[in-house]
Amino acid sequence: MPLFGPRLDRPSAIGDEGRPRATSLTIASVVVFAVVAATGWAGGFLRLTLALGTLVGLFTVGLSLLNRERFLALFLGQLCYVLGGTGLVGFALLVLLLAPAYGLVLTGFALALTGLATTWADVADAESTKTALFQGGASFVSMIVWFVCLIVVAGTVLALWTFLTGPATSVPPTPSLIVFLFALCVSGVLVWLGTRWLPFRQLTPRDRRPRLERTLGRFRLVTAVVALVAFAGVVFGLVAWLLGGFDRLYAALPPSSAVFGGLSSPFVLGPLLLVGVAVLATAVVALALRRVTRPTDRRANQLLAAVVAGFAFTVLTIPFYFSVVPGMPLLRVVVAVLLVILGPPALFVAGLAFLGGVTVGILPERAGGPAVASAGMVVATVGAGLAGVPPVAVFACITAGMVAWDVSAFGLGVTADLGHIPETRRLELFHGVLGVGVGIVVVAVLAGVDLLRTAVAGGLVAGPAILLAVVAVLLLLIPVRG
Amino acid sequence: MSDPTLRWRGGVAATIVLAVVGLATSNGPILLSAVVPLAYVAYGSLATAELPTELTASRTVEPTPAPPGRPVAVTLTVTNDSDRTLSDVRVVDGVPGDLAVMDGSPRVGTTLEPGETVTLEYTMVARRGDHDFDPPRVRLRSLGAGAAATAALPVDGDVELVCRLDAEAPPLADDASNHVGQITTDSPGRGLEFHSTREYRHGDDANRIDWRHYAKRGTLATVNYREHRSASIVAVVDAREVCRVVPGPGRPTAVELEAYAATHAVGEFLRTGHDVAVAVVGLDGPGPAGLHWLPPGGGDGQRSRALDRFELAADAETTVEDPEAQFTQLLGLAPPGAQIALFSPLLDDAPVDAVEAWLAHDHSVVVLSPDVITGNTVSGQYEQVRRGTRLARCQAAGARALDWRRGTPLPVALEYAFAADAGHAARRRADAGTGAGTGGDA
Repeated sequence: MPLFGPRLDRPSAIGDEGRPRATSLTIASVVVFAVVAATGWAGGFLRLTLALGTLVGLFTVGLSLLNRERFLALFLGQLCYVLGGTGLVGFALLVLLLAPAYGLVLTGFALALTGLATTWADVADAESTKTALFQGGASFVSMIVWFVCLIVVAGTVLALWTFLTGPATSVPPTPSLIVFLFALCVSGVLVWLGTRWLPFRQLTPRDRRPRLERTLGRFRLVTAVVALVAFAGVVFGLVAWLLGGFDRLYAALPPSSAVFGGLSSPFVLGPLLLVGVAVLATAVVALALRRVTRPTDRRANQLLAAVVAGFAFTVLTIPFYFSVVPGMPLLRVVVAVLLVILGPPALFVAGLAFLGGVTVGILPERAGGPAVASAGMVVATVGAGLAGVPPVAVFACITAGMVAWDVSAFGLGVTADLGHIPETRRLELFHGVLGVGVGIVVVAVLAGVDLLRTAVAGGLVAGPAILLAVVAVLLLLIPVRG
Repeated sequence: MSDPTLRWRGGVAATIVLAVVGLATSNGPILLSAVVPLAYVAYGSLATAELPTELTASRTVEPTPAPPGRPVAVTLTVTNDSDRTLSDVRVVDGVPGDLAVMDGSPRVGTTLEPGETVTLEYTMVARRGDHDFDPPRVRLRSLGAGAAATAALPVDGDVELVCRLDAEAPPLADDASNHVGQITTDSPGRGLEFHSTREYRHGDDANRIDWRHYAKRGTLATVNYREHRSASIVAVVDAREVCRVVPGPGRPTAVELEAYAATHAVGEFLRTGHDVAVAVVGLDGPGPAGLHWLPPGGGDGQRSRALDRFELAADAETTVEDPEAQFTQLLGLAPPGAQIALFSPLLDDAPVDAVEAWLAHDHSVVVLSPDVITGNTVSGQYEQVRRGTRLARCQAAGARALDWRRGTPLPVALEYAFAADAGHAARRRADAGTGAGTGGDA
């Protein structure tokens, strides 16, 4: 059940057994969010805390959309997942480096909010994480490939542009011939590739397809031969040029010099390359449209979305991070580049850590989200204590973690016992109010003890005594729990 | 018995982590924070769960006995007659394994104050047989949900759902077999509907004399009515293996629905004075061509014997190698001019071919086809289209074919299928000139 807006989870006929019931999860979310906001306010880093919310939301939306089937959802999921997740990881690492105690607090909060948000979206499980890791990895590889391709293309275009816009009258005939042959070879290859992917066969009536296939086969053979001959001509021309063969040709046949010199004219090379590029571009668009309109092929859509998203990341990510990272321009550029290069791998490692936790049993498979949220609040408690946040806020942090785990585990148990159809709000509210009440009493008692400790004992920590007390209580619990 | 749950292992780990970090950093608030998970561990662990003996349950099943396919409402009431509040009570009713819940839920979770009652209401679809409910399972959790006690609760009231083919039909003893018959013919004679008048003959009943005619003309005349005659009807149940399909889990098979419809139809035919024969196609029986065949007859005994055949058809799991031959064999068994009532889901072409053959041999045919195909899948929709085509083929051949959709009450389907066809059957019989009864008045 969504709180508002379109739902990110995928309700099924089986039901939402994978997450706690809505009432329990609402109680956990409200308590955690209130404590996070209050601790941020008490510690003086409320704006940073709230900024986490945007990144967590973006990351969760991305994670949810990456578990869909359609291309558009997967593409948007890639954008949200990589941008939000990279930002979240980068933000946490940056604050941990600059101020470790506050970094711990914010990392804990990020974990807690992410755990709850992904639980709401019903994607805090190993299967969803594997899917997201695969697609995140694919888009990262795609981004690198696109980056290399764009550099190569840009370099080629620049070289050609320099060559063509240079003093045209001074182009010697032999280099002109070799450039022409190279362009012919490239254009032939592009046309040969394009004719593979253009939907000639699909657009032809069924009775004419055999004839078309024969014609197309001959045409592709011709283009392949032309490309090979042109490539051989390039090699032969280079060798002949080095051996001085062209000088004897020009001496024997003077008009050939003028003809070869005119072959590198923009009026010749332009249309030649334009044909090849146009055919290939049309074929790529046709191929992409066919893939996009094939909704049932989930894996193909995932790969296509990763490839397209990789291009978007190559073009947009650095400017995006540059625009949102604060600081000096040089620092912003460095941080943006680092985020682009290191962010996705770090996100991948975080995902692997979650999977590892589930595999070894540290994180329960069905309650991964609440466990992460609770663990995050424990981390935040440690950080808040080290950062010198008021003790009540420290106690509230760990209490919120315990409440989140208590009511979430209870809600999961109710669903496991009764399924998702029966109305159990009264049962959940009773348990939730009881859990929150216990927390309030404990926080009040601990605040009093801490006040006493600081007022009477001057903040002395009787470590061994408290440790003994904790161990004794734990030992006592063993027989009590049977 | 109270069993502890292991929800707080993470809490114990958090306590240890906070205590160690607090000690290592000599940080008082962190060290004190270690108490919080400990408090929750204690809160979840200290309370125990004991099931009070004053927890009572009662169940009603309505209606029982029920016919196959009929929605049955089940209501389970659990009352806390003890003097303490039960903070977490979860109840799961013991639904019979062969049945499926179609609406509502047999589970509930709530808190129960002293004297408070919780009610579960759910609906199942009946299948033939006697289905025993298991006792409801009750799970009680302690205040912090750290311990649970589970037990089966004794239940008052209904403990089984009985589903019979002849449920909602009149008892055998009430079957009136002394009716003349309901099919109206064009032949003049005894009956209810006016046909014509003729000159009085000696021996005519006094109550057939047209006294108005006598008052006007001074001569006696006798009123002729449209004669009612009994007919021979062959009820054919298609019990082949292909028909043993269900539209969903826990639903009755098509053969069960056929048997249910045939039971009621045969009861109605016999009550109105027709002779009824029964044939079960698809099983290896002792009759001709392996048919389970009941020759035409009437009365209470015939109805009882027909019910036995239908129950056999609904329960049988074996099949015969060549059921199409049994369809053909019926041509030799059915009395001349008999009306054939075929009960089949029409999931293949064999019954359609049989209908066309019967019609070609001048039998009037009515097809009642229970719908057991779901349309929520592409293959289901495809089968729906094919079945619709078969129904259309039956109609085009001259049969009266009725699609008995799920949710349509059987009496409505029977009324539509058979009552409206009576005139058609009568005309065929009149044409054949082989009626069972004779009018005597020409």
